[in-house]
Amino acid sequence: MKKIIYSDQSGKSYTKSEFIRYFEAKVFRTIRKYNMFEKGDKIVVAMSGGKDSVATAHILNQIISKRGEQVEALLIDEGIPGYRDITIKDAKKFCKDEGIKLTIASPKKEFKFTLTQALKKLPKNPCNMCGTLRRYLLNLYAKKLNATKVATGHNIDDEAQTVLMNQYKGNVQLSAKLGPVTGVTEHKKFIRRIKPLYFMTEKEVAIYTTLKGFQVIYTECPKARDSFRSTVREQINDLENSYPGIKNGIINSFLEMLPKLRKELAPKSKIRECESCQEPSAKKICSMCELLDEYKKAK
Amino acid sequence: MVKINVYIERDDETKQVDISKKTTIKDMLNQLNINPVTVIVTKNNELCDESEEINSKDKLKIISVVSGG
Repeated sequence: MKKIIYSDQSGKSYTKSEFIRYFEAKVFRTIRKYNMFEKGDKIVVAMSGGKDSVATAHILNQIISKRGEQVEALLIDEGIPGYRDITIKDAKKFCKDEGIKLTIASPKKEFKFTLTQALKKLPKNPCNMCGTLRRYLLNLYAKKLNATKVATGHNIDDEAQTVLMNQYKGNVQLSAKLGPVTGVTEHKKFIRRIKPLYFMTEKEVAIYTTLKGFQVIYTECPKARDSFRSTVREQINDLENSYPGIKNGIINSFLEMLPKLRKELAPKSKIRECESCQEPSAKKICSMCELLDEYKKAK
Repeated sequence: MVKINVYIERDDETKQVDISKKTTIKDMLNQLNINPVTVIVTKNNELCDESEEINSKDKLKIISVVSGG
């Protein structure tokens, strides 16, 4: 008898091999549909060592290695004890097993402080500060690695949460920066981001990495447990359980609106160069330089 | 009705649930008030579908799929 390991929202059931085929085929379709990369592109995967980045790197490496090329991985160690140290260990093991070169960057190395140290000095939202540090270092180091595309492990859950968070907070202009492929093309200092797992649920990614036997921890960041995102996540998951298909509904309707959002709202945040560090920024002084300035001034 | 232990990895905690002959993984998650969308379940160290039935000798583990920030 065939052992069923997963049934999707429409009731379709999958065995282990059927699920792996389904998962990979859906990711390949997403990559093709949005023309995420082409021959000659150098892809760097934003690696955390968690399930999403590991699945992304594994699938991209399968595709790219057929061309005799390889993806590379870039991990930002923001400095969260008891969490990031575990995922770094997993990332190192995964990259070694897959033959992927791993580069580790950190605010400690770059700016002489960790996220935890900065949070002690500055009363800021940890997720916002972490996002600023990570985005900045990711782009900076991706350029150092000569990347032409940065692949992230964002899945449908992440994207649906961000869309609703922006909606709830009245920051709809921020949603113009979302989508399966993001980043401006006209700025040479900004590396475009691709999200191959865009249509996969968090649960599907966890099933995939479990079936593949990858060593990853399934836990959320300890600093994010009480965040706004975590509240929105719970709300969407409750709705998905009662009315299956909610996540697809949010994302499909968002994708229909996205071209209009980009046309109407994106030009307002045109990318230029930060006057202080010359890195790409939507403002005169980028968020990273603002943070550094605040950190220096704080007692 | 018999009681069975279930290990919840995220909280590093073991809880007991009541099961009968036809109790499924989904029923067990309902008893524990856990949303099936947010977890995967292994039975005797193998991933299984929520429609699968459980018996008193099964070793069950619930793994949260929620990650990131």
